[in-house]
Amino acid sequence: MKLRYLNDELTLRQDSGKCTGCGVCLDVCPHSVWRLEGRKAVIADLAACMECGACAKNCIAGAIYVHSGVGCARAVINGIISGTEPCCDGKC
Amino acid sequence: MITQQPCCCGGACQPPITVDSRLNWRDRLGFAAMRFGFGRDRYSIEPGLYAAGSPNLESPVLVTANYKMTFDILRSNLTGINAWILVLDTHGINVWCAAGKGTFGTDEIVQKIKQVRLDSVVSHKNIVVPQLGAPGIAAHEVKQQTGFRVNYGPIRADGIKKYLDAGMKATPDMRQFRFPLNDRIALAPLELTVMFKWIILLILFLAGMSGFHASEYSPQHIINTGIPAVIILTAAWIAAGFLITALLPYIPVKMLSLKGMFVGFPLAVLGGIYWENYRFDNAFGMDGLGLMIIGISGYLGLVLTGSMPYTSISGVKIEMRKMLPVIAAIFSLGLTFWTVGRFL
Repeated sequence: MKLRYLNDELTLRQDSGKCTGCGVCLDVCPHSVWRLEGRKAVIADLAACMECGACAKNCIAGAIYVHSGVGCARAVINGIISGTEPCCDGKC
Repeated sequence: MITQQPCCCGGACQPPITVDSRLNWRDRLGFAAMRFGFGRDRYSIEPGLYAAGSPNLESPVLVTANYKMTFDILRSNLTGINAWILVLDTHGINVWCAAGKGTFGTDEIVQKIKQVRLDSVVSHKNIVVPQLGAPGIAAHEVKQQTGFRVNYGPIRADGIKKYLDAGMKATPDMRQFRFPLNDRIALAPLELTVMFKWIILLILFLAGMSGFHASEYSPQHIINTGIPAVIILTAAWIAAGFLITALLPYIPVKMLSLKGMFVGFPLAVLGGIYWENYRFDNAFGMDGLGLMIIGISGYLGLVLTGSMPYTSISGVKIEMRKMLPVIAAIFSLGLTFWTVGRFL
């Protein structure tokens, strides 16, 4: 059974014009969001994206944008309380 | 055999430590302690270069984090493999979390490669980085700055042997997150432990307040109503932690806090039936307790977002916006009901 989370505001975007089709995004994505079509990578399953940022970080062409961050409610709450960035385990 | 003496650990040249692929009872005790979060923030090993088996110039280089449990899981999967292990300084945090924060990152990997003089340890130019480290590592920048090519290995350490045997090729299965029952259940104790101090506070409050009965205060009321209330609440809280994680894929809602409430509701009803059966107290006490159980279960679900391997930050923000007020309202209502019930 494939687990899906709220995906209405996912921030993953790709500039297809810049894509060189190297396929590194397919390698690093833990949820098989990407697929190669011809000589371009395309977003095949956006709803599965968890915004970890691995694809954008490893894209040599700079063709991928995603606002990545700690997907953790406690970290976000900690950040709000301490007035810092979201952080885990009280290590703010 | 070690043919060269690589340098590790600061400036001093020392031979790398050879590690065993077998885990002893202390390692396993450590695993158990980590599941409950005991000493988790200092369960680390010295960063640097380690040897598994008898690696030589041609042996693969496996990069990992200096959280001891991560390191132990990796080495326990290296039976019969000769490899170098390059341990980055992630401040004792696992690969995935450290990559998200950037401590398992490009700068650290570049710095460690130079520090241990990896180019004199091996004759090839390949390193294997766990796929879940990718959010912190820009492979092309590592290549540019050190000459070493980053090969993304399998998500799980148990795939490392197959991956190396296949000539550093990962199968699609190795690249996919799996989240089996065992892994899900293992998260419950830690989430419960983190919440423990708040539950203790709540228990003390409930026990203290339960001494009131209309206008009098007596320890007998604490025994008659306070103790059963505390037992029901604690039991429901622990059950919720395990049930949410166990039933996660089968509860047909996306929001984790709603999954929590889905589990919390039947637990609250069970608690209510028990309460009524033994007539511990009036209906206000029963309803209040039930609402608190639902609220706590919802919160437990919400904070589980942090250890779910599929929750996005944009989704977490939506869920918090919508559900945090709901959870707070349900819990407050429950606490109010229960407190009012003491004075009727």
